[in-house]
Amino acid sequence: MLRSVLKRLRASEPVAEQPGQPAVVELAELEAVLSLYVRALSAGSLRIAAGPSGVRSPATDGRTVFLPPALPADPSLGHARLRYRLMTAWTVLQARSGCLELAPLPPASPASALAWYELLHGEWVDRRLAREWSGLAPVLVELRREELAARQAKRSAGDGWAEQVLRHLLDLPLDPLAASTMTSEPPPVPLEAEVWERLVAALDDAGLESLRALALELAAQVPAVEHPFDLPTYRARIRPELLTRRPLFGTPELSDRPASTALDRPAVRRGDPLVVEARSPAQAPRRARGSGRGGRQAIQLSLGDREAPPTLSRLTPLSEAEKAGATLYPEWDCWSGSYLPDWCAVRQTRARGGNVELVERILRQHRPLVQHLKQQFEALRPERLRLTRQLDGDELDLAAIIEATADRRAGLSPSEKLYSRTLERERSIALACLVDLSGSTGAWIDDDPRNEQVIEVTRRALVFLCEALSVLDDRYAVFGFTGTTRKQCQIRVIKGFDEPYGAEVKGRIAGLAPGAYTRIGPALRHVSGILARQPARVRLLILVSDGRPNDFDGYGGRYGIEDTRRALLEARQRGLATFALTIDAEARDYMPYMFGPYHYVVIENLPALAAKLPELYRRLTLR
Amino acid sequence: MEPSLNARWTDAQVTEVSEEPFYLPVRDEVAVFEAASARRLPVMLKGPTGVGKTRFLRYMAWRLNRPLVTVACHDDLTASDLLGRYLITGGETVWIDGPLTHAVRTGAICYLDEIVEARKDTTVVIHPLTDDRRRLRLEKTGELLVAPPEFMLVISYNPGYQSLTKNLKPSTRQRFIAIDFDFPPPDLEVEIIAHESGVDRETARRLVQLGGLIRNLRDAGLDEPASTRLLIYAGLLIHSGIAPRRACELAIAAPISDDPAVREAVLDLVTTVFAE
Repeated sequence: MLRSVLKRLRASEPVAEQPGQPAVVELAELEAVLSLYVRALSAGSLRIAAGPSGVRSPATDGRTVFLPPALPADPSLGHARLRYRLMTAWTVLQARSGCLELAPLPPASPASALAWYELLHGEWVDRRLAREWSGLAPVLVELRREELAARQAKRSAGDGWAEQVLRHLLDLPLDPLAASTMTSEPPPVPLEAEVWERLVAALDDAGLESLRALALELAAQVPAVEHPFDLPTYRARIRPELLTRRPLFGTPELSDRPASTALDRPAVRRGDPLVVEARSPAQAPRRARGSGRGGRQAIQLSLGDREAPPTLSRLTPLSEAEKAGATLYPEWDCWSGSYLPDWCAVRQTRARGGNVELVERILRQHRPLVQHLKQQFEALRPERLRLTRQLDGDELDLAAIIEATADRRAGLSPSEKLYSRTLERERSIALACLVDLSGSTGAWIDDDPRNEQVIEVTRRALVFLCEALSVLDDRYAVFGFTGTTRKQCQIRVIKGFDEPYGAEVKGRIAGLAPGAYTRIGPALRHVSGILARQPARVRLLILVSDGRPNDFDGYGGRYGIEDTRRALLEARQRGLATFALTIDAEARDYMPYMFGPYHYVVIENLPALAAKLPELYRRLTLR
Repeated sequence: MEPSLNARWTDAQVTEVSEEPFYLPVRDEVAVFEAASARRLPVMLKGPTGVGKTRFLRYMAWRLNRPLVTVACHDDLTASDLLGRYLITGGETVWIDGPLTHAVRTGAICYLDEIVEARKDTTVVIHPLTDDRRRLRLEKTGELLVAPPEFMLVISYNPGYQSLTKNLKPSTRQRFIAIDFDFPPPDLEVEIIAHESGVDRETARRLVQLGGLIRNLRDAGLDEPASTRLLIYAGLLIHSGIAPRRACELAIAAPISDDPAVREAVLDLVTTVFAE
């Protein structure tokens, strides 16, 4: 906590200059932990992102929990942290309990029905939260008390019915037992006492059906309700316009028919700061740096990638010109269940060099981390192994001699292997690291204080990996891949197996720039071919990617995933081990299907990726 | 019992399971194991650490009324360590059976725990025992042992191990039938934790809830998610009067990860589930 205060004071002078400015806790400071927290609570179905600045309440589109970018540290930083945690848990529960499913609230129902439902379901979620995650109950009770006090202070004769009902509800204890002993006076609203009783009872129901029905009933009885009205700040408003359906890859079982994959996505209002727009990758490389916070963009995949199978007209072989100078690879066509021979043209070039100073700067900025990684990697160095029971060696093997003596006494012919010698145990590992250089890596990392692009993190990851590997003798190579359509798949050699890690390689790492698309299959086939020729006992291919397979010419959705899976299968059949590091929060839907369980890691907190790559390699090659 | 044997072996021990160990079957594993035993098939217990593989085996040893020879495998384990060797005692040389040989002779269940830890050349000595001839040749004594029907070979294997240098060779693993172990379903896990640690149902339920949440982080780089064993440890501490939040911190959050963010997230989950 102290560290973060100091950091903030140092980072933003204006705050320090304005004595009246209250201290805040920024979401960015907690993001690494909160993203794991939300993943655990939602079983991986939700992620977090920052909402627009100035907003104090959470929101959700059913896939993402949007949290306020900052919360006042009032009365302390610890409280703000707790409030972040509570808002996250609250919104997870809201999304998970089906509160967002508005049926049977008919689309034509009056605005007041949604207002009543929002109010009632908020109370319901509060109660549910206190029961299910009871460790948070004290925080919630505290927030409710604050909320009620603030509302009572502001009360006026002009308060609407909903406001009065809410105050009344906030005054009820959360515990159903305590509530039942209280005489709950109905609020001064034109409501029948019987309806109020039903309402209070429904708040402790397991399901939401009766609350939905009550909301409609109330809307009919008390129609004049202000909407949207001021909800308690920790509660997430229901925003039907934000909600997206869960798409295709809910489970690893892929649906069979491509026709059934049509995406039913409600139209989103453009310009809504809460809406994370899907965009086509083609736009990405040219994307201008946004201004300030407005430039924030969640890493999101193109949602237009669920297409029909290619029509016959598109099934034309590559022309001679398209084949020129390229290595050809087949592609797995899941629609026909067969390989399309010589389908992709892969061209391998050296990655362009850039300013080495960029890499040196990374090294200067992260010196302690690099030192730490190197130390860790030193522990992987081949240990000296004492081989016992050898025919020859530097020392006598006492255990072997005793055994031989015993054997001789027992009348057996004793073993002649009576020596021991030490041996450097060889690691014999070859690593090919394949890095996604598609256009999406040009995206700005959502809510990163450094306002970085994904490619910057990739660059750091490669520097860290190469630095750490410099203390070992493991053979390794680094490739980048990008391309546009199957005719132009590009492999950029950043470091070849036989090249040393020096100024030239550093220059190429510095020169990395986002390209176009993510056609993973041909890149995997090409690199696994190179890796398979390396003389090593363990051959490991690590893919670093920011999204699912995607290319302009229909290489997306199930087709791309099936081809990638096939390419990985081929690699494994060649005796290569494959592993993936991905930053796509939706990757959990398809990674196990492509890589198999235990063979991938999803990084939610993107800046953490850089250190994760060498760490992953270390773990994979531990003895 | 042969205490002399247990004293000779550094990595193995023989136990006669005389009292019924507490074990709640999750699926049909008891019937499967009994069938495997009747048909003399070798068995692989597959699953993450701390979900009851060893307990299950003790339970089966009790049920089948056989001695259980357990070998903790490690990378210095030699074939002689498994088979046996001549030793000099006083002026005489004596052959001492290794744990595997002993199990074959006495018709015991031989359990090679964490088999991937053993060197590959050591693993090979078990191969002749796994096919239908079930034989074990001792070069040194010139004996050819044929395993009695009661003998059974069981190995455990944790596929979650991410190290590429530790993997079970297909030629070894395909000699076994595999019984999958995973975290028990919540209701059963509550029973198990309540029984093993002595905490009340409600606390056990909270521990299971916490375990479930932490296990959702399985692909976030946790080495091993919160196992039933760790939940039981937390329960034991709680039962001994340590406050629940602190107990979970000690028994669960600290052991499962060194990553500061993961650890902090786990602590957040602890405080979400357990009130002060």
